[in-house]
Amino acid sequence: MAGEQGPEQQEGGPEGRHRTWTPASVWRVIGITAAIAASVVGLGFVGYVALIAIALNSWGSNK
Amino acid sequence: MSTLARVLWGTMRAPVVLLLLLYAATGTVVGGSTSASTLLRGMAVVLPFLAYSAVVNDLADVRIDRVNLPADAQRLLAAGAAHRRQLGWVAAVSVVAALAAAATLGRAAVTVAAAGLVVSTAYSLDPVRLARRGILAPLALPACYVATPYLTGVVSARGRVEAGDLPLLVALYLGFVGRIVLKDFRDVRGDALFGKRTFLVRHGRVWTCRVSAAFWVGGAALLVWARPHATPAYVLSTLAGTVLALVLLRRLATVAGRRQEEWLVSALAIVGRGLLVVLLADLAVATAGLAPAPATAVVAGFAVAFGGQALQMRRHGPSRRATPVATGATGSAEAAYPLVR
Repeated sequence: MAGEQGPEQQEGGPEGRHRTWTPASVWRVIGITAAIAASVVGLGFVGYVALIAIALNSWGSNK
Repeated sequence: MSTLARVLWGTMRAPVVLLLLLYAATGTVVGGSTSASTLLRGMAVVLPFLAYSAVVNDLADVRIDRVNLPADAQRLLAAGAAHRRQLGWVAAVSVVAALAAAATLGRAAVTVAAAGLVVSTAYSLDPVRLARRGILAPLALPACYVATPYLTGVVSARGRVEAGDLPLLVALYLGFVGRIVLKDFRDVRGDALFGKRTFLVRHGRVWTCRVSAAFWVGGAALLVWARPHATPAYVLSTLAGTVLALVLLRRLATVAGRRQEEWLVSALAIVGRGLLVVLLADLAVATAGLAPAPATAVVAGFAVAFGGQALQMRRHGPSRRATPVATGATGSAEAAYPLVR
């Protein structure tokens, strides 16, 4: 179960390897896009702090 | 790497560092700055403060950590990879480093750092040891983990604290209490085994979830009330995040199974982080004087991303497992677990 939601899964086959998007990658991409937008529009460190939070959200943590 | 450096590194637990970073960043923006260098000056106080707090807590809870976190490589004392004296040295160095960094920010920062260090000591060590005193523990811990970084951030940006900064601090405090009572789900086995009377051990999961829900709602209401000029996206995001938290808490109150329980608590942690990031973005939008359309896009983007990640965690669990599987000595602790269900 936990292994099903990596950033992207690679599959082999006669047509070569290709990437399959999962919901986990979609949420991450939305968050990263918002973080980049925050930096571009001049919100200073907000984008960087948000990026760290988005990266750590794939960890199981009680805090 | 020397043992002292490894002990110091072991205190830098990523989720806790992130939490304190979010509070420090919020304080910095409240103080009127979105400059990374201002935030880093505040973190120069906050990180040694965290190292001290983690070390004294590890010293106090070493027996419990051997049950709850036997495979956690960052708990060097519990793992037998460091001695108590080495942790004592790291604690002493951390106190000096926190106060020295605070001194560069002025007298107000020194007062904040010193107060945080005193409360942190009282939380973990005898004779006060608030960590063992039921509801007092989750009420006292935020004084360290919310007030110290938030006020340090404010002082780092503005040089002083004003009365208008405090409603947001109270809102963050309430929200943190709502989250921190849930951390004991992970530790309940060792806590029950060693007689650590946390709120969860004393009152069980249903009342713990009810209390958490009350603090989540109170904190969210104050988060909105304290920001009369917030964007509609912020208000809606805070409302949606709180509703999601309540749904997850309702499930946590009745769930059977340790893995589901861990995933729910992790999902609630993500919702909490999301609320903080949305708040941070909305505060920065106001500071930067951003137009409504891009402001809404940024705030809503963060809300959607964190909400999605929380639901993903709820359904599938972590893709990187940070909480170790308990083994060995936990057998008798598992037997104690039904006591708190």
